[in-house]
Amino acid sequence: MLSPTLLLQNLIFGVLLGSIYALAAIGLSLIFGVVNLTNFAHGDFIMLAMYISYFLGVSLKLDPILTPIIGFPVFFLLGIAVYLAIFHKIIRAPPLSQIAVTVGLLVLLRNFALAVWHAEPKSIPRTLLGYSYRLGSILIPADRLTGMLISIATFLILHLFLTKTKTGIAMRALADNLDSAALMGVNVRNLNMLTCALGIGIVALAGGILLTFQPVNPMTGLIYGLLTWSIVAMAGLGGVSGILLSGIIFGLADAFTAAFWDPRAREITIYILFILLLWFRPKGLFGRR
Amino acid sequence: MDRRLILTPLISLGVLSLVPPLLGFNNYYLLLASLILLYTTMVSAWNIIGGFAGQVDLAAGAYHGIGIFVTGLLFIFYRVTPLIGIFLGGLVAALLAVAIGYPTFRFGLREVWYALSSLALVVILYKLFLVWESVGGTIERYLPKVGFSWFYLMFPGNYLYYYLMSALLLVATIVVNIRIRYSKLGYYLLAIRENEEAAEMLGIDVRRYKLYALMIYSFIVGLTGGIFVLMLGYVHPVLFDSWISIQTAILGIVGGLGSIAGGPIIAVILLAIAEYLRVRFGGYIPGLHQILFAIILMLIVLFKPGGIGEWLDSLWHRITARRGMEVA
Amino acid sequence: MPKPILEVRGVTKRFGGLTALNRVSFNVEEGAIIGIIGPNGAGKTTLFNVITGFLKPEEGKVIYDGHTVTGLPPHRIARMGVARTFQIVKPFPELTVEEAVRVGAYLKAEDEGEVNNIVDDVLEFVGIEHLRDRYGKELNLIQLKLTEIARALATRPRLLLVDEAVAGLTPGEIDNIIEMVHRINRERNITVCLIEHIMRFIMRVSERIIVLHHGEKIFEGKPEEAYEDEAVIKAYLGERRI
Ligand SMILES: Nc1ncnc2c1ncn2[C@@H]1O[C@H](COP(=O)(O)OP(=O)(O)O)[C@@H](O)[C@H]1O
Ligand SMILES: [Mg+2]
Repeated sequence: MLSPTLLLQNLIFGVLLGSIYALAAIGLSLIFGVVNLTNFAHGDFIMLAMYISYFLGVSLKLDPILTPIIGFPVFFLLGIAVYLAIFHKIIRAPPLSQIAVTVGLLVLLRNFALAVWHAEPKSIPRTLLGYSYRLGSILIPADRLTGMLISIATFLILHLFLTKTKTGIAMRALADNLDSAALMGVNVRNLNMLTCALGIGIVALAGGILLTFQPVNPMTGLIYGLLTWSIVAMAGLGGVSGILLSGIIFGLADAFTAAFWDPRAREITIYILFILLLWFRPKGLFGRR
Repeated sequence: MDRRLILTPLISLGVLSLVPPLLGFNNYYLLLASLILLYTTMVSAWNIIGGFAGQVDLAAGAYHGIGIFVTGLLFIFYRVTPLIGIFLGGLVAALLAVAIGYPTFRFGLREVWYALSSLALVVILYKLFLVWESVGGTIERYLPKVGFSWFYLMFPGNYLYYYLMSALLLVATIVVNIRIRYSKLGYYLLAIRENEEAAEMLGIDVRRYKLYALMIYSFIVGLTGGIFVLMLGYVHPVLFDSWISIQTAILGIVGGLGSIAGGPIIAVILLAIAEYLRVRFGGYIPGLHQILFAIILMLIVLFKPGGIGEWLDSLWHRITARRGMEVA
Repeated sequence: MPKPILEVRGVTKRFGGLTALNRVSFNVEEGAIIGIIGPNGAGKTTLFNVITGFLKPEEGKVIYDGHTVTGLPPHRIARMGVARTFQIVKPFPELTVEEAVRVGAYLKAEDEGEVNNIVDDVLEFVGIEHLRDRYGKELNLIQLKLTEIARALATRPRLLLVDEAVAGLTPGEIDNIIEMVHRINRERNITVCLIEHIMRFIMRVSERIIVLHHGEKIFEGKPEEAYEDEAVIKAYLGERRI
């Protein structure tokens, strides 16, 4: 049963999947690290992004992989709106208030989706990427490969942004809680708003990619919420490369559980891994602090 | 003896016993009322871990589900009477809570991470029972049909009995709340909620006391599952429901952290409204009651963080206690 | 010579590359009031954190009442009779002053009646009965500090560690605290360790002081001798308020 081919196949599946999970988690990590905000609704933004992608796919006959072209700016603005309406009121609030308010947001988003799209899972009508490349007996699905490439490109751009631009450096300083020179003359409020816009904006990319191979229903948000928080927990506050790495670790856990145990058991492995991690490595695997 | 400990159960039992006649002993309404009381019991139990000890626990759905499965499966597989099964369900829930809570507190998980890992527990159990075909699986397992039986606590077509059981459990939970609140345990839990380091320095074994709170809470929530499954008549993994967790925490927070009266009163009112909305509008907007809960939660946390319980408590205090601290 | 109630032996505590305490040793005799001073960042609070079990030292040990307590959790050490206040107050905002003191009183009391007695006694001793029903969130700084002292006293300690009790207080309030420290020591037979970074204050309360600088003990002796000690003068050079 444990043939090398099968192992390699799932290794590849896991890496592809994981890099997409990382893309879904990076926004949460930014908002948690820079803005210092605990967002329990992140998974539901992912769910919403998948639905938006579905909507655009159906109404404009757009391929899901292309929907972020519209989705990204929309979610960027949504990030600003959510920041102004809700997040900025709780930035200095105790953790309990942040958890409570964002749980409220989670419930609202979930029920909005339920009211508009109903409970049955929705998947894309069609995608140009519904084929696979073959390397010997190994399959590489085009949708996930494209997703990984988009993810890696995004991480590269983000890395350059955070290390090379003045705004990006200020964001990192904010994440390190440094009242350093980097923050002089930088408007923290605007920086927080930009981070939320960016963090939620990137969710649109992830949503479009995820929908090419996974259906969405209103409860999807909970699953992705816990998954992305798991990734952030593993990465610690170690920057974008930590997120990419831990995304891939969870992708591998996902692929191997689905292949060798039961596809329905994916969350069991992932969340047990998450809880063990919190117990034994509370600062993450790749964290600097 | 503290007057609160006599007056509170008497008054609340009195009020609760008026409900069935007011509902005209209508079976369907009694079913809804029983459910409301069970959910309210969870809120009151949550107050011990969330309100007193300050831990944002989101595992109610897990302990409730354990109660359902233990009571249900013991009955289905071995004909164990729910009279015993319900308590075993509570015990297993408490054991699970300790097994998870011990390392959780040992390694100092707090706030976000505690909330997330407790929520993850609900999903883990749901999926675990889904793939564990010999006890769970995808099809419902029905309780045996035994007809009207006190021994098996089966009262087909008559929810009044379940209503009374739920009412008793709720009142017992409120009494437990009062007992804890005005005792060493209660003061220790409050101190832990307020400041863990200061609490440690006052000689409080923070981990141990958090575990006590978690055990009592999970035991009671386990019991609610046992009663719940008798009314429902079957077990299914989907009953490990994250909404139960979220609803319980929302109502607990809106009712006011640590408020003994606030949680239950708010819970009964909002759950009754929720049932009304579900029956009336559920066809068009299925999640209307959830939307209502979410909006009230956000408004309360943003504008009145003390919850409804703050003024309810001072009112209650004035009615039931003559003087500040009375010795129990 | 009375026997020491607290012995600190060669304690070293590092935070990454920073050595916050470097082989610090000293004894505290039962019944004494001892002052620990030193500029900001000298390691004073870290020392208290090591003694009370919040931090584990890399080297050395702490002996309280003849028992090694290094490695024990704070609540065990508290149960043995060590109490402390914090430099940055750690109040219970949603509890009343009475309730906060009550939390402390449960440690040694046998029953609720004794708890009530301890609470009444301590509130009176510290002079905050009038604040009894006020919530932590309603108190000002001096009231918070007094509540913290009352909370600590309610645990019936034998050794009280006070971390910068007077920082941020007015001269009148400082006098009040000084008088209280004396009373705690004399009337309650409690050994007191005081941290201050202002020397003037410590002169008025303790017969013996220890000076820390960059984690090292640079002086131990009578306060007036400290003024003539070269190392102490150098350490405080640049600090205006000596
Ligand atoms: N938990 C900690 N982690 C890292 N460094 C610390 C920690 N606590 C104290 N320090 C450092 O140890 C040194 C001594 O601090 P502290 O004991 O608070 O000084 P003091 O109380 O004498 O002002 C300081 O440089 C401080 O920054
Ligand atoms: Mg200090």
